Amino acid sequence: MRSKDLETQLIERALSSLEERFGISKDYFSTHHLFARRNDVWCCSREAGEAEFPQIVRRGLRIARVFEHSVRPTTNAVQLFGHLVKRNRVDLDERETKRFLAGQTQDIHLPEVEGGECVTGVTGVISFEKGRKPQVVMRMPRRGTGVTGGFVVAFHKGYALGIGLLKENKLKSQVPRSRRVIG
Amino acid sequence: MLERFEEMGFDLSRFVPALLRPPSQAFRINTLKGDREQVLESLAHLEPEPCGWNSLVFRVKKRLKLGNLTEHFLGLIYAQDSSSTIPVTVLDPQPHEEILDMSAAPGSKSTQIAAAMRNTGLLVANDVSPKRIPSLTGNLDRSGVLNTVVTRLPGQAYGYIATERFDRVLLDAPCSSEGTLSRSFRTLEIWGESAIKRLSATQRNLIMSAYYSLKPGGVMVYSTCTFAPEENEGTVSYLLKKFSEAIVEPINLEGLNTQPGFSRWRGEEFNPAVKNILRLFPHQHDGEGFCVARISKPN
Ligand SMILES: C[S@@+](CC[C@H](N)C(=O)[O-])C[C@H]1O[C@@H](n2cnc3c(N)ncnc32)[C@H](O)[C@@H]1O
Repeated sequence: MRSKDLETQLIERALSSLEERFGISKDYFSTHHLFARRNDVWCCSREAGEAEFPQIVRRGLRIARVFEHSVRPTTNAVQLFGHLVKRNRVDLDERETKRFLAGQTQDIHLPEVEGGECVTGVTGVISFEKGRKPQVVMRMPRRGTGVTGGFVVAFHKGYALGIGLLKENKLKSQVPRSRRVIG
Repeated sequence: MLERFEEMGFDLSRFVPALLRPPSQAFRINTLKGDREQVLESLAHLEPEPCGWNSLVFRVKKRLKLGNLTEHFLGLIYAQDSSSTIPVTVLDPQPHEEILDMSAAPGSKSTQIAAAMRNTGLLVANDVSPKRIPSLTGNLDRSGVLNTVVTRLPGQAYGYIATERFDRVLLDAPCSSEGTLSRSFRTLEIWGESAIKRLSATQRNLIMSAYYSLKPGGVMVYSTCTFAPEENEGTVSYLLKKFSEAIVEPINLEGLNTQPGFSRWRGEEFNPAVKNILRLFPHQHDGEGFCVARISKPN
């Protein structure tokens, strides 16, 4: 197969995976330039994709790494496109966020339904008073949305922090060493 | 060094303590990743104070490591001395343009340019130093920059390889860094008359290259974080000698206590247009010492 075909395939796999797993529409990238180097897919503006100069070190941002059986978006990409994530998002509290930014693995209790399909957790406490309609008296943050085991996007206060690997109630932070915040 | 400062006419009893006292920390909100109001709300506990010249730049009086904040990790803010945000404010980048940042590492100004361009068009972020490129790419990544090509070339090459290509060029030149003494005394290790001479020769080559690479009708900004007139008015005067049509434009920014460029130094009379250079001194401004010139190339 020609290398251009391989590149197109790799990009296609990355975009399909972003769409299927996280609900990020492929259309979002239609105004950008995408290219692949080895197993990585990169994204830049059209103009940056077309520019020719000697000694180019890089263009744009690496958005995903394609493995044999999975695709892992980069921390930098999900921080930028995080607002588009519809599924496989896990909300972290303050302490969990600290651990996540430090690159740690932590226990995370998301009620799971057998077969992997998710439960999004309790969203409120409802009071039932005689003669009145049931009322939500306390809202609770949704813990996760559409979560199944595998790569998930960790959120805190509505901002996408990065990618985690969720397996058997353990969330393994994928924040690269160079980006970790310790202490 | 002190004799030179005295020759520049500074009152050393005020100037030197201010030079050695660290200015307030500052940050710039990165609009590629966050909304100004939301970011301000989440950082309200720092009591950020707006800087008049740029609605995205804030000073923080509290002493803490801005780099440890979650907002920094998320790329919602860029920790940067307030003076260092001025060159790009003066350059005024626009979406869809082609812009060159000739000496870009570690990327404080490239990331600011990309945000002003809203990640569109083309930003070439160049630096000659292989050691400094990773800090540049790291900051571009954290800031979510998509419109950038990073190159590793001597800036001197751009005048030849991209003649009259760019709408805007930033030359934040390598300099003797006298204005940043409060941050690091490393400056003192390389500082000296011969270093100033060597740097000003490099700056002259770079400013010529920057001007060549600018489209007719384009705008460039030349900036340094040093006080030495040879590296500021001297460099700009040299450009004006070679290209008499180049225009040094006046700079008007709100909330800044600035001084005009020097008209002469050690017997050399500079081109009168260099009075339009903006100078910032630490005893008059809560930020590092800086010098900024906005130069346009007529059509
Ligand atoms: C003042 S620093 C730039 C700071 C940067 N603009 C920022 O805001 O983060 C000067 C830079 O010039 C680079 N430099 C030195 N000589 C150069 C040359 N001939 N061409 C291009 N870059 C050069 C240095 O490696 C250094 O990174």
